[in-house]
Amino acid sequence: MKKTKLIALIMVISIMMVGAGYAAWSEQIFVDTTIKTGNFNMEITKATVRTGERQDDNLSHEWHHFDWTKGNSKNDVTINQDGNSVEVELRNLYPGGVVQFDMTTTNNGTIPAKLKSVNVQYLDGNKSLLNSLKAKTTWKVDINGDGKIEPMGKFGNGHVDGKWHPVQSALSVLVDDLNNYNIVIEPKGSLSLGLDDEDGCIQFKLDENAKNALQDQTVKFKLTFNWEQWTTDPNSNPYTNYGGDGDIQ
Amino acid sequence: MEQRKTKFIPTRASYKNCILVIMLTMSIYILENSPAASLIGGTLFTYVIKPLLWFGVAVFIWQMPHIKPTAKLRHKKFIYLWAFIFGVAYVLINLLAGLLGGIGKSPYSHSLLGIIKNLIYVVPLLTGGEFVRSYLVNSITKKENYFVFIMIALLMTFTSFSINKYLGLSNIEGTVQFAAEYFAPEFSHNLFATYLVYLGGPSVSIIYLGIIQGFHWLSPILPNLKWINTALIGILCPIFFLMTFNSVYSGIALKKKQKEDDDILSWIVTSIVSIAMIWFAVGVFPIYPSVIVTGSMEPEIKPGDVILVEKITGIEDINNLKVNDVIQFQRDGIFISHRIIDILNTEENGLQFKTKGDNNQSPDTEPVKSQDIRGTIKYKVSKIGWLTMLIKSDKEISIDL
Repeated sequence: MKKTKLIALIMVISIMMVGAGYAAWSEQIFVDTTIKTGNFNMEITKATVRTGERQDDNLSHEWHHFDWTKGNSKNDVTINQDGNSVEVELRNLYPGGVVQFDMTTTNNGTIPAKLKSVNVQYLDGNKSLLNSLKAKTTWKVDINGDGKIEPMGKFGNGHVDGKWHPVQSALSVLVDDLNNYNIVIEPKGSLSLGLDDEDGCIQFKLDENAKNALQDQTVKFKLTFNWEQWTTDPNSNPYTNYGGDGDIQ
Repeated sequence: MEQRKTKFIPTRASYKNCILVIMLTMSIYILENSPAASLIGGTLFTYVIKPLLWFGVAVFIWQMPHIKPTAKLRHKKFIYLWAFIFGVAYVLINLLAGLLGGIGKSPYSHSLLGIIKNLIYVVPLLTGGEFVRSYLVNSITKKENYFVFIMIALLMTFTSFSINKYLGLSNIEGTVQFAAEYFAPEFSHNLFATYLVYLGGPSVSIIYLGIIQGFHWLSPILPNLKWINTALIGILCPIFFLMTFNSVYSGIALKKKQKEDDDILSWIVTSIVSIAMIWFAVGVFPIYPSVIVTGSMEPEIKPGDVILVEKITGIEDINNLKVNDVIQFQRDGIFISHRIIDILNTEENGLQFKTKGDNNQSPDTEPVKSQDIRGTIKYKVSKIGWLTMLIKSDKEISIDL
């Protein structure tokens, strides 16, 4: 019994000492990362209408072909100065009508980043229209900025769940899906919301069951993409905590 | 006809066989870490050859004459039950820690094929390993010899990590982290498992380790803790299990008095409280104490007061700082706690904070850079830091200004 106590005592003292080392080193890690805070820069570099022909929902309607960049559409999207939010203005949607636009966010900083959340904020117009909107997203990534899109087989098919959700829910599903695949955008890397060879999109659809009163209405809302620093602390990586050489399934 | 008497000769410990078993274990380890394993192919070796080798070892030891474990047959059920309880307790403690400290998705496959492959990998390794352990400990000692237990636990721990893992340890920080997060917890489990096989044979430690391994490989979620917490749980739990079981078994087998149980409980509580206190003092937790030694923040904070500083842990915390917050920052090796009076954000220098002590005539000369900030002052406890001030002379003090 005394021997087990002695062993336990040695272990307890060791743990106390390791705690001191942990405190010192974790602080060092923090200092290392905060030095780089000035270079944390995730930027929406592209937000345009999609003019492609892909029409999964069998909806060949005018909303599909607006060009947001040339300003000749009734709809509009603007990248805000903060670089991480866009303002979307939708006009004249009809029940079942779909609008889709490309969006690419690039890591122009020097530290890896992870999408933490996307917020939807109503700004102006008919709020009921926003509440009746459904959305779905698709995504693809170039993690390290080498110009190559990561193989879909590796990071999922990018369809998220393929279902229409209320706008905020659709974007939460997107965040969850990216986090499930542990997507961390390295410097110069980028995240596009899209599939295959397309740049990507968020699709908005006015619910088929929406009342006709919502036709010819306008709504303006803001989408804010909140990115967080992916720390260099190895303990933050859930794949490193389980030992082994990583070759076991 | 004269009836022939059957004479049973008790099995004697064979040191030659012990050496043979150790050599077998080491051979598998060396083979696993040799280029031969790569030549054979990772998958073939991992899922076919290695399990077969360990299964072979288990069968080989099974058919060898071996010495019975120490515990009496009538106590076996009791020992199995406790091994099961300790295994489940370890899993529950880990899950609880995961709920508090974070849970991650298991990196292991949970498809039917994946589970089968993992079981093919784990089960023979566990079984073979525990047969080796049981054979060695029960052959080498009949008494509760902790030197033998420790040596066997060390052997089993050493061979559970690849040589590359040891060779890859290049700096002190990495070595300490490896020792604390992986090696020491593995050693603790092995020490407890060695005690279990000493009492009840390989089946007892297979129950204990099997539950832990089963959780690790099959659970879709696993606790994703900071390495210091992984170390704490991994090291202390098996050691406390060992102490508790040692006491409980002594109670039932040797009829020792119940007094020891209370003794162990108070010992465990004292240990945990001591660790918590030391860790708090050295700054493991999100809030840490710091002693104020000058009057620059008077009247709010006086010399001798202890402040509790909440660590800044990310960019968001920095961005949330506002004018009038009291921050602790580092300058030339000294920790200073002053109030933010202005926030500067220039393209050249990024985010910086202009600070001033409440009792000072003028602001601090240089603005504080983001990376120099350690935390924000949340609470103050008056006058309990005077002892620190007495111990340290003015020249030595670098705690807080």
